[in-house]
Amino acid sequence: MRTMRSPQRERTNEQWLAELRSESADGETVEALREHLRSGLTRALRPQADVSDADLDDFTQDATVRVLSQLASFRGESRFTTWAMAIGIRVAYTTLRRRRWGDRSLEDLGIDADASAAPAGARSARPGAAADRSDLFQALRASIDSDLTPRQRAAVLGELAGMPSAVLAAQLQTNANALYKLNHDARLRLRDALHRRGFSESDVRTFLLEASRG
Amino acid sequence: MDPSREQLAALVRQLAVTAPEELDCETVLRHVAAYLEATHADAPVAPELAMIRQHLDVCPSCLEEFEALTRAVESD
Ligand SMILES: [Zn+2]
Repeated sequence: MRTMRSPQRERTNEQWLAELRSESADGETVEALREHLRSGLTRALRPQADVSDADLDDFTQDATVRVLSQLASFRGESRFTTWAMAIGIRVAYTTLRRRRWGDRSLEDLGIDADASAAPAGARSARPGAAADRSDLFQALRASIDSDLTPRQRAAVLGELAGMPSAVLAAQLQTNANALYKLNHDARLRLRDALHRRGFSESDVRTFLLEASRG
Repeated sequence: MDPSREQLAALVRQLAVTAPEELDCETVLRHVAAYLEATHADAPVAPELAMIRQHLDVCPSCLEEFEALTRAVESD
């Protein structure tokens, strides 16, 4: 005889794993995972006006499939439910960002990832100048133009423009990790370049302090 | 593309916390749940997890997802 069970029955991490591994796609634990993801995604996406109930259904379905395919990578560092939710949120936001961005390309943004030379327009910054906000910006613009490779420049500018990383990676014909590395290398170069142009760490901190005061 | 002042200010903020060694977004996804739980517990955050915080400071996408995760687990 089957007894009624709450769908929110508490499970340990080990129970989640064992039951999800042994169940078919319509099993009780898979259903509990789906409900957990749906309610979490509903709360997570509350501030997003452009998310419909049908979207939530789609995100929940995709997230459930993704979590089930990644069970082997769960290391037990957190509750299983929190880990699964992080994956669900990555799935939902990746789709949302692509949808919002549409099909705009780097070219549409005026970013040339293949340019061998820096864009024209000599931008000079006064070395040793005080960290006046506009001077810092001027130096940063000059460094973006002349101290980065074309691909590093495209990675930095694309991200600043809000291009989703999945779209940006595809535009640069690379993958997410390589894109992150490109962006990271670019930031290290820009920081060195700012130092060479006379802006010290403390100039930058002063700038940030002023900026945070409005 | 000529970045706006707002975009440059965001970049300056990222440069200020850029570290020689950083985690990528995939690695952050694997550990962000543990980071969230550690920040909710009153225990000190382990050094590995401190690198998650650093990533959130330089990666707007992962920060957006971390805030969403925080909302998701609110009533858990
Ligand atoms: Zn990230």
